[in-house]
Amino acid sequence: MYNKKIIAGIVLCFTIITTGCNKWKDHTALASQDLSQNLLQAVASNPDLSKFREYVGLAGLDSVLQSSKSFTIWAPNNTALQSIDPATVADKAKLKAFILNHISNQLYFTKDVTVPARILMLSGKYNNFSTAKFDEAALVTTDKFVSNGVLHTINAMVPPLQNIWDFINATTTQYAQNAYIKGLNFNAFDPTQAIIDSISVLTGLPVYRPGTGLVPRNLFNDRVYDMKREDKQYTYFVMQDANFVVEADSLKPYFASTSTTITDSLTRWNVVKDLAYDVPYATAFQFPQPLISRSGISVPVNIATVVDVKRMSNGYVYILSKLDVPTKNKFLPITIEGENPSGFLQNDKTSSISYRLRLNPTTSTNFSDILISGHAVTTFYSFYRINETPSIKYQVYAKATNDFQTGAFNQTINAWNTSLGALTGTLTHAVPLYTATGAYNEVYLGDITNTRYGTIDWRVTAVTTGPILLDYLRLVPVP
Amino acid sequence: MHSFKKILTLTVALTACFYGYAQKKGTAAAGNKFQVGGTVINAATGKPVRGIRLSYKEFAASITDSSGHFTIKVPNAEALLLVTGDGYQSKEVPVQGQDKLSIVLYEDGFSSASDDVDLVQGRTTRTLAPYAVTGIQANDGWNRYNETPDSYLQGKAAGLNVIRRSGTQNIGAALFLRGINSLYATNQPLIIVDGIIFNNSMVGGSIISNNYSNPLSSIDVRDIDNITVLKDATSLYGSKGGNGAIVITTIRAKELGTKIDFAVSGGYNAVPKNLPVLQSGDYRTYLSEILKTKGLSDADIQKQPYMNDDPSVAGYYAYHNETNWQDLVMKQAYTKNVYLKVTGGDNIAKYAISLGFLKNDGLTKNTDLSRYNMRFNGDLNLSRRMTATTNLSFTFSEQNLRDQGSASKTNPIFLSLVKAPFLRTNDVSATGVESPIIADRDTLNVSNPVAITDLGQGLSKAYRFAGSMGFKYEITRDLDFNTTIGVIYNKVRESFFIPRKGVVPDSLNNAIAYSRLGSQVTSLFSLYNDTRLTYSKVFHRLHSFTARAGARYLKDKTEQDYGLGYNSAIDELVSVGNGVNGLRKIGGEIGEAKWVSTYFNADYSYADKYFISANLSSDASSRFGKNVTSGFNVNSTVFSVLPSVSAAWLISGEKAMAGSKIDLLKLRASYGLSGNDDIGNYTAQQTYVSQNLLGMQGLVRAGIANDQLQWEQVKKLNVGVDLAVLHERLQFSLDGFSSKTDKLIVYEPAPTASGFDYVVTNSGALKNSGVEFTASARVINKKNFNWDAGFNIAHYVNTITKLPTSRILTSFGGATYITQVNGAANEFYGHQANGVYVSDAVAAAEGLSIRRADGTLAAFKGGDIRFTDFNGDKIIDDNDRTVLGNPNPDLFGSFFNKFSYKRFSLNTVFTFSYGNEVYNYTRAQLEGMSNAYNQTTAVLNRWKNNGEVTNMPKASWGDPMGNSRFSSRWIEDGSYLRLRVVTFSYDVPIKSNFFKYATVYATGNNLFTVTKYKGYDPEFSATESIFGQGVDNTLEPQFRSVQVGFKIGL
Repeated sequence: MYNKKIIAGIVLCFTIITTGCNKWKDHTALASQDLSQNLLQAVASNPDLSKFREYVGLAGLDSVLQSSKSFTIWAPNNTALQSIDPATVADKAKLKAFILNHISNQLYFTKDVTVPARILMLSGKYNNFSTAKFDEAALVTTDKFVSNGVLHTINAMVPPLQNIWDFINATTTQYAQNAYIKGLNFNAFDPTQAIIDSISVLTGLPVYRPGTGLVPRNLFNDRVYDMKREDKQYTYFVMQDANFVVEADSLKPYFASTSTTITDSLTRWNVVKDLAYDVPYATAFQFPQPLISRSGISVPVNIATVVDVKRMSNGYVYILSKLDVPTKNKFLPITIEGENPSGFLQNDKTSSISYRLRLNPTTSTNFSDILISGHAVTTFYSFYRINETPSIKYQVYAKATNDFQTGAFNQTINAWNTSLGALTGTLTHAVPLYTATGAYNEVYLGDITNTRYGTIDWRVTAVTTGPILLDYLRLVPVP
Repeated sequence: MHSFKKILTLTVALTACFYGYAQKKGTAAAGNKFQVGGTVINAATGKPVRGIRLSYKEFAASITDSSGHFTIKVPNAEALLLVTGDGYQSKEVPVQGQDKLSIVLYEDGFSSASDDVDLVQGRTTRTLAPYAVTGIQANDGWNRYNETPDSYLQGKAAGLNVIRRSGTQNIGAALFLRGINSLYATNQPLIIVDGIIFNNSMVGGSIISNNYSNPLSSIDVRDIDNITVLKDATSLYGSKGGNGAIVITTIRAKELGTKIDFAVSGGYNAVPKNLPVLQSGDYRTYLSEILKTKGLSDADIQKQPYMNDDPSVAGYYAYHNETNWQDLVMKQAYTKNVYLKVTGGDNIAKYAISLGFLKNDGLTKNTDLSRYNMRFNGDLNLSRRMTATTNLSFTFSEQNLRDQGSASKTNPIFLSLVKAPFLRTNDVSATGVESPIIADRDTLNVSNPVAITDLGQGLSKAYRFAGSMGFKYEITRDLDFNTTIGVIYNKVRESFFIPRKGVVPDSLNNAIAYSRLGSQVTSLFSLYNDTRLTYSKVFHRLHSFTARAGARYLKDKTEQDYGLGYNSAIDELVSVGNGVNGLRKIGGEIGEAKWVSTYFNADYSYADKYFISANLSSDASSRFGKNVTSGFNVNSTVFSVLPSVSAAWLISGEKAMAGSKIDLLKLRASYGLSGNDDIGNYTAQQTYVSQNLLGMQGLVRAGIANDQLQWEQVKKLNVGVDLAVLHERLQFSLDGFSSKTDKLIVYEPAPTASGFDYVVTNSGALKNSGVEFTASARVINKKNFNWDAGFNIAHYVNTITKLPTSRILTSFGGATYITQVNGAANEFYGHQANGVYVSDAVAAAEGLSIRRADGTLAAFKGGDIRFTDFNGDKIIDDNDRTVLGNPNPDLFGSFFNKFSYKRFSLNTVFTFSYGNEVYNYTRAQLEGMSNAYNQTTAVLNRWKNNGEVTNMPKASWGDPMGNSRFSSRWIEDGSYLRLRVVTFSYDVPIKSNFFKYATVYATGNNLFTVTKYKGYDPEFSATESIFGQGVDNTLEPQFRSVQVGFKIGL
């Protein structure tokens, strides 16, 4: 009698205890069966992805799809993978790159790409993703999410493409232009990559292990656009060999140097530097006329000269049969602002130098200039260094307005060619008094012809110990 | 007020009448005329009992013979006989005009209406008290030594809601007797220990986050003889009795023979079940998602050290682990305990001495408690007329603690929940070899919980001395003079150290605090005196009359001094002096309060059937303002006037009840005023505080003085009935009460022109009404097998009736409380969440937005929480908040079962709380999905894409849409049913003369809890204020524990 009651009581207690333990169960139960799967299981459970699943295994990527980050997969279905190149399947490294070109980190749902996005794949390449398409492939099923990511299926393969830099390196025999660019490779020292052997007792600076810290770089990538980058897109023009040589040779007079090799190198550089753009033009019809290169040169590309277009992972390559950039386009006027001198004859005259902000009463705009007076040094000058000056004739214009003293004065403008170690021209600049007519206009002083490509110091020199005053110098090249 | 004066006048007049009547007839007093005979039988066996003493006051006595027979002559046919005997219960038996009585006695310890209760007036039995009182015979204290007296009271008295503050040892409990009686003043009942008012609040507050140095922990539960919970008519305590009173009486020698009790026990504390947080894999997936919403690019995310999966890359081993931080921070623990009690004496002096020592390891790693306590209570017969009592106790406890509660950088339990599981406790080399050095804080800016438990320190040392002496002088046979002087000195020394290694720094005004150091000393000195004259006489052997007039004096002096330092040079320098000089902060507070109370009390009973009591007290206090309008004024000192009257009718004493099955039927009613003087020591006065302005030090006014500030006034009405039937096998007690607090202290908004935010005024009012029911039964009553069962249950409704403003909003731990007229005090107030928007389209169709800080609107999208737009303006803002729940329970109480079979006994106590809502702050952090904190596994269901039906919103860094704001998402049902205590014991048969008895026992605490609450435990109380109740801010949870021990008597 009592035993029954006790047993009933124990059963009741047990029920209460077990129900008590379930409080979290309901709360943390997975809302969807899918959430108990990982991506590998999700791929495996889809019969239309059996080939993809097989290749994932062959490429040794099972562990990646099971790992605890978040991924998005755009898996080509079996129909799409029928046409896969057997060579890709045979080569594990290639296959891995191929598979990784369909997988990205992070979750990307179609709702996130109402504005199409470029998404970094695990292959290191970027692919385009929009609500309907993944790169060139159309989405078949979308947005299935499991514990560690999202799975979309697509109806075509998206194999990894080579990038422009790979293209340049692969076609050096075909195109002299690419051979030239490859020739601009150099090794640079990067202290963050170098191994420090010790810290010098004498200087306190690190002593790096010889041979470490060298990183391969390329002048073209450094100074024009980095064709290795996958996160940007470019358009790159390749001129066929004959045209490339003609175009380069046409610049020879302007890069006079001590040797033809140097001159050749300079002319070629000055051709290729205007052949890359940071806008991916998918078709030649998209070219603006003219194209303006990074160094400001306008390059008229004739659509009719386009021989071939190649799609790259980071842009497009256009093969041109002919590109003729007018020589006058190649050289831009130079403006030297007086208030930004590179240096002076001597450095102890700072008290004589004024950097001024003045009002131009005719235009009611402000301008800055430099005034050096009371320096008491004969032929004192300030100079303005211009590197890579071509060997070309310049028309020299100057602007300076004397508003600090009543007496008019002269100064001289000379060009000092550092390669030659000689002056290549001298002009006299009569600085007008501010009351004179056209005192705030620039004045044509004459021409100076540079005879050797290189660095020119443009000097504004005092007549004896007179003042120096300059708003700007404008140098217009005359090819 | 006016009605009270009337009642008072009436009472006094009535008393005077009786007195006069008694005087007139006194001379004609007759002897004992009425003879009663009968038998006393044992309830379990049905056999007669010999040696049972029967008595009627000082007039008559008798003893049963071997056949259980007795005869006794009593003055009248309506006398109430007192029946006592060794090993049997004490019982009051009404004669009811019968000349033959059959008295049934249960064993000693059987709980009945004849149990002792301790009132201000002295010890009596519940039958004779016209009040709503619960007397607790603390005879089970010896196997519940891990409790403090306040937590011990849980489930013991109907209407006393005991909420343990946390699972930390010694931390005690918040006590609420009959609802919430005050908003800003204390709600804790007055505690009286051995006649001395016991200041039961911690001075200042702990510098170790969310800890509480509980003064009551200085009393060993085994030193307690009786606890009486006094619920109504506490006007004798004047302006301190508003929350009821709990009267604790400690051990005294009951017999002259020397009696030694010795107990040793040991125990085991289990670790609570871990909360289900994400494991490394799922956590990393979550992390990569939340970092994306932070705006990090994929490349940035992949650059994070934990995203690398190549073991050859440095850092791989530091970030590829599966660490269960909860297991590392919460440890199973062991407890041990020794206790000795000696009582005895002779007819000149009796003594009771106890000594105790315990050492308990705490739940949090490296926390523990050691306590040493001693008590000496003496009763001295100094002369024929003069007796004296002494009570001396000293307790020292030393406790290692760690931060808990809302300390997100230093609470080890909180950190163990949110810490990334892929990290490990210690540094690890590039090849995976673990170093003994504890790992620093991580790149996600979360402290290492093990750094807090292992390198951090937190120490609290508490000393408490309580001593009192009482003298009683019998001036005449009927007139006594009594005086008691008591002194309490309490000192708490605390220090803590938070290391720089492994812990996220705090920001100060002008510096970053890496390591944090602190030390504090608080002290309390309390001097108390109670002096009174008692006149007591029985007239005509029918009219009992007692009157008392007395005065009390209480002086409390408190002092708190603390120093906080920062950035000691190394983690080995842990004391506050090692902090950077410029950053050191020193502060403190001194408080002093004086209280004088005069009181008058008259008790009258007629034929032990009709009882009436009138009480009046009048207090003056240094806390009251000078121009208080109520009360009366003597020499510009304000005195309160707090009267009460209570009456009872013992129907079962009437002749008409003779022969009925009803053993006890008693009606009670009381009405009275009492007060609450916890209004701040200096709030009524103009005070100044120091202020630093651009390096200049000066004094500014601390607020607006309110010279009319007075005690909160509580009117209490109680109606009750006590019933016992079938030879007391079934006992019931039912009480209904209504209490109204007016002159409620409120922080009333002050006019802007005053320059202050608020002024403290007596401008609110609230009321509580409720019922309490207690029932107990002797279900099985056999010679060898007894089963007692019973329960108590209470219900109350708290309503605010008056406020100077339309509502009061307060906040704690991210929760907002509303207190408004016609609502209960401190209800949760926030947004109503209705699931998650399935898709962007559904959200757009509803068209709700939030307003950003810059004023623009941000629309809700798929995966956001669907909040209710109550005002229909399509913008979810503060105006759309609603009452989400009430932390007050609808029902609370306990039920017990007690089985005894031969020498075995099994005792179970269940406690429950039903219908209280709680705010799960911890879960709000663990499911908020707005930062790098680890989350519960429920977030695996987080919304990710359109069309997904789930109740978990999307993860979004910083939570721009406020999905994890304080809302109904985090409000949970805090109801629970808990097997609070289960004790199994066995009395070993002893044949030796040396041992009197020996008992072995096992006790389990909190063995199981049934609750829907999704946290460690649904019972917690984070603040002393009511504006913090029901918030689970990750306190140390309650845990299961088992103790095994033995007790021997010599």
